[in-house]
Amino acid sequence: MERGNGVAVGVEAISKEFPGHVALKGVDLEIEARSFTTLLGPSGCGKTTLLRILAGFETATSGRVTFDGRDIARMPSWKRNIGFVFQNYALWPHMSIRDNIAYGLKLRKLGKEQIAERVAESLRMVGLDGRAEAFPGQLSGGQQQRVAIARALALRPNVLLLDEPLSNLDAKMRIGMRQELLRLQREVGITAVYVTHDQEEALEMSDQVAVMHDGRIDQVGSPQAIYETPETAFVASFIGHVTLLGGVSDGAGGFRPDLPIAGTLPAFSGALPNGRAQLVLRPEDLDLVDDVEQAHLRGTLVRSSYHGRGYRSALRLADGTMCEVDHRRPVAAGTGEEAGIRVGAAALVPESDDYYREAAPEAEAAEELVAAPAA
Amino acid sequence: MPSNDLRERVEPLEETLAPPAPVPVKRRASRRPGVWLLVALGLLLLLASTIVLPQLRLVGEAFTDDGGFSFANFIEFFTTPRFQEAILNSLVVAVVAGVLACAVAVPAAYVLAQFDLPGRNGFLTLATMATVSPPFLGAYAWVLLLGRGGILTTQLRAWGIELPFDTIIGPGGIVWVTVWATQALVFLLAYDAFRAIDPSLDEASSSVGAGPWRTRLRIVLPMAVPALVTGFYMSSMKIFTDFGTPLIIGGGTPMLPTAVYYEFLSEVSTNPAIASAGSLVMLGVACIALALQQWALRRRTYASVSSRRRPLQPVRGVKKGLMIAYLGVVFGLSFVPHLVVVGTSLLTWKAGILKWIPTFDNYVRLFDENLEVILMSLLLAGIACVLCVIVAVLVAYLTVRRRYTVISPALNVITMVPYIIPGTVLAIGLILAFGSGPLILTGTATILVLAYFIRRIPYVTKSIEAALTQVHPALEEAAMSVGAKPMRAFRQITVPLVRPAIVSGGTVGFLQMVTELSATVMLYSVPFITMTVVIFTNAMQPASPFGVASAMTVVLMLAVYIPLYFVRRKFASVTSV
Repeated sequence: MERGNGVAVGVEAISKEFPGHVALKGVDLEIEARSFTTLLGPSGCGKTTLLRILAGFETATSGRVTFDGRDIARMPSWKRNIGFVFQNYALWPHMSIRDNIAYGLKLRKLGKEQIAERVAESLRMVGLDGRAEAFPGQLSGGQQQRVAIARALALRPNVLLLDEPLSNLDAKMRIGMRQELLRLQREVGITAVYVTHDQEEALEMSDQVAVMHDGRIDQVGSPQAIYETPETAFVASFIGHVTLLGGVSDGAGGFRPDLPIAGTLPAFSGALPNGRAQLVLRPEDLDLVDDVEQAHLRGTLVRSSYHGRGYRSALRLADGTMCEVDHRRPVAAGTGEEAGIRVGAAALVPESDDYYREAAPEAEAAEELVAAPAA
Repeated sequence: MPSNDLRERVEPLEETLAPPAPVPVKRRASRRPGVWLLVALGLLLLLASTIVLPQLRLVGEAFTDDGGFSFANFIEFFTTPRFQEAILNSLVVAVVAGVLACAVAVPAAYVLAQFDLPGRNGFLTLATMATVSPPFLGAYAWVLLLGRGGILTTQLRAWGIELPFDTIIGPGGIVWVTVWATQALVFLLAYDAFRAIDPSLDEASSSVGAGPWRTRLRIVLPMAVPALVTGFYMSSMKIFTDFGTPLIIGGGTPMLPTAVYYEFLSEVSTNPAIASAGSLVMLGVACIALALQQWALRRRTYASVSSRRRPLQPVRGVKKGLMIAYLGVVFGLSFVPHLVVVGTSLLTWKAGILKWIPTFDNYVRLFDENLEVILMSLLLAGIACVLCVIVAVLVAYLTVRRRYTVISPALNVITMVPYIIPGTVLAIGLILAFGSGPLILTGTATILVLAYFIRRIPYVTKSIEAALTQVHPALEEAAMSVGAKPMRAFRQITVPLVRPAIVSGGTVGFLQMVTELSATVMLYSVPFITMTVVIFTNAMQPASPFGVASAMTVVLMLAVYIPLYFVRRKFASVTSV
């Protein structure tokens, strides 16, 4: 792949205070040129604020933002040469698709022919050639989002910033657009920073994921690293479904849960100093065994349901914790009876109470860009 | 694959990726100051000096006696019988006429909102037209019709029919005229309120066994109370501050605006200090009325959860006939003045006496003698309107989008101040502030433009503000992200998106300006004479060329209704409310 004009982005000790609350509490992040980085976290974690600081829509209270090593923290957004794709598309409703895309090009004083060429090329890239004369209101949500992306890319920006761009699309379209977006990013060779609360999106698209929580970045790493070796209870619980078991780390990779266990647990990632810790168990790393003697853990079966690829069962452990287990074979025990859990793999994280409890962060409803003319 | 082209880089915008600046470790968390801050400060200065300063001068004048601070003017004002009477008359007339306007308009609004009646849009159009009628039109026309030598009075007498009264002139006349002139305001507010009531509330009421009248009184009417409170407040304040009507039809009944006017301008004995004290009393009443309205509305905002449109109930037979007759009477009486004016403009007048001979002479004379007045009216209102729209757009933007800590709220408050300033009071403040001192504007056209601008700025600003809150900030950010500076983004993205509000708000502003009388009559000077002043002066003199005055009123009505027609055709929801 040809190398594009993407720049490396650096975030150093960025803090942002709004009246009454602190949105970012000293965030550091290195983003490689031409990579795809996702800021992942629940609403209110500061991910959008960080993106808006990169765009220059907000000014950080303190800290540095660099593009290819140059500090741009004080540069206004209209000089940064960025592309920004908004959650609600933010297409200008009073301009045609052509004018929407050409607007920034005209500001850059490009020649008429060059502008026409760029508009056509951008629309071709997103598969919307022929719709140049339409107005935003005449396009579907997915098409509007493509126009928004085309508008950003037409300027050949150094960085493409995307603020939950797929969250207003329906589920099927969302999945299709992920791959298309990624293809465009690779093709153009641009640095992309993508904000989402959807962990699936983050895992599927990113070179690098930064999981944010309460104004801080909890962990930065590849999707595999984030999923398989979470460093905090929050990261573990935000991505996928987990059961957390309290216990004590012995400082040498060993872990003694508070619950009685049978046998030895397999080796797990994450070496922690002596002290309280939590074991992260994912349903797919566990198995249900009929022979309770072979199990590491025991619990009472609360429910079991079939999901096509297998079963998911929930068991109540001795201390009341609910533990979910995926297994291929039907369970022999009936509801209310005891069953055993075998642990295949697990990760160890420092103990913390504020892990992410809710199942899915709410998707903010799309705001109307311009209200319909009053009746 | 266009990747070859894609490698070529756009020349970065000027200064893009400038060399590293010294690293500021700690920065104030605020938006960049810039052009907008300067605009905000400029506007603050302009509005403070044209709106706040004159009112402060007024306060100063009212509290000064013999060069020192004193309550003497107020004591004199409240102890002079003529002013005592004026206060009482003004309050009584405002409340009585306000109540009657509600009594007339609410049933009319209810039947039109509830039942499937023919001519619905016609009635709504008439109501909107009535709300922008020239304020003194009613008084002028009803005097022509039912004054001592009025057209109808003489005609009836000739037929041997005696009216129960000698002339319509007097306090009763003020009430009669203002009821019909302001009922449309209440009507429109009440109509919208009735239409917005969730139909399932009525259904719920009847499902628990309430009859239709019980439902009307216990469910529907209470839901419309906020609109009724606002309607009563607006109509009674319009009546309270009305200057032309009591002067034309009051027959010397002392009323506050006229008393203050004479105290300030009369050739016999003027006392600006007493007039200022009187002005502050008017302002005080307006403030108390606003506070009462807000207090009455405080716990009465009902959120409507239904998006279901209220169905129109079918009605037929006698009931239907009665309903249409009622609406016909209400709007008929509201438009009697318009018909009288059109009619009398086409008839011959001799020494103030109407001859039933059709003619176009009035119009010929009008355009011969008064063309300048017509053009002057349109010009002054036009300039003021453009100014008003520009300032309103900027203020609305600064308060909705920029939100500077002190400046934006200050701008917001100052632009709303004229909402409660009666025209007479405004004019006195302007004369006090700009009649002497470093900047003398009295006697110029500027002071009229300024007065029009100030009187309408709250309304125009509010309507643009409402539209602006509907435009998502991301649209402007998107423009900045592709390289537009803030001012360009504002001009090319935001302004076009609120254009409907600019056009409709500006038009309604223009209509009100071109019909403004109470401030104009105090501020005008030759050659800057407006149509309202000419019509008013004619109406005040017996045996004046009523035909020409009527023709001019017709021209004024056209200047109002033609723009209204075009704006309404384009944006369906334009009202002056």
